[in-house]
Amino acid sequence: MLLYEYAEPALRPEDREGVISLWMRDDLQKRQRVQLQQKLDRLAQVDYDIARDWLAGTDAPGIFKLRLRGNVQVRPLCCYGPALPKAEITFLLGVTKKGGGDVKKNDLDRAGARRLQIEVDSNWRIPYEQTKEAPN
Amino acid sequence: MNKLRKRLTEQFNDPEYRHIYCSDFLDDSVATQIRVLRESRGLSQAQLGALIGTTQGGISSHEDPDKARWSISTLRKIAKALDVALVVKFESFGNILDDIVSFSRESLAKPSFEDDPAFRQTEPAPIIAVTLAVYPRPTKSMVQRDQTALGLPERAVANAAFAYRVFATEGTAIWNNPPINRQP
Repeated sequence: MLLYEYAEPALRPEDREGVISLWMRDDLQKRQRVQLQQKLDRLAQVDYDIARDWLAGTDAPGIFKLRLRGNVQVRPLCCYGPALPKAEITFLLGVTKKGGGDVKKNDLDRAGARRLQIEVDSNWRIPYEQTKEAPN
Repeated sequence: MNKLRKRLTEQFNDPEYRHIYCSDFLDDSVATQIRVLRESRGLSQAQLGALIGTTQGGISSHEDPDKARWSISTLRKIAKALDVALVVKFESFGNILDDIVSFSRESLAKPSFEDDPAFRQTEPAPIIAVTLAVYPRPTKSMVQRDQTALGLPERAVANAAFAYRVFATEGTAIWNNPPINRQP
């Protein structure tokens, strides 16, 4: 699968950073970051048939969550496509939740709004660069 | 160098990083391989479950990297049901990088013993081997005719030596009765 992430526009294209890369760098602890990095690496290597089993649906139509092991649950929210639904996944928002329970409605709404945004204008996303953020 | 390999070669210098990464890679690769192998055998989760004495839900869990808790005993049962060998070994991080970089459905698919080329005889040479010895430029119909004349099944000629033997004995009869379409 080709991986993308939602990115705010910036004055200089080289300054743009995707939401997942920022989230990994600023908000996740090391174990979570490595686990997510590992999962994203695998996701980029598999086809749609396998990838779809690693993504779980949410209460918001078209919004999926990538599941990882761990007590503090790291749940990147994403959607298929939008250009090529069986070949692309675009990450929209990083959600960290403690304990059980579903992803909060606010987070789902935010991810949904971003999904609409990239559907209208694909410039609101950038390729997920696996080599860009590699903090240990 | 592959981008992923290059990045991991740097990141694996951190002991904590490489152990977390490889632990999760193990979960992902085993779960995914069970699924890939099951599908390649044309088995449903329920059918594989029946073979190892568990339920469809049990297999579904084994195929889910997020839920899986395998034991060697369970993996042995699965390996037997899928007719593949189970290998559990300690590995250097340098070697595991190869598995990580090449991870794909294709790399995880392994043949059952029945389909394992290591245990199959050499692929039989096609009947064309005999015909070529008689006719430098045979047509498809000539091949089919010789095949019928020699009473050979489609892929009966096991190897070049056997092909020569067939030609030296049965082929003579054709040679003595040249067909209409025989080329000079």
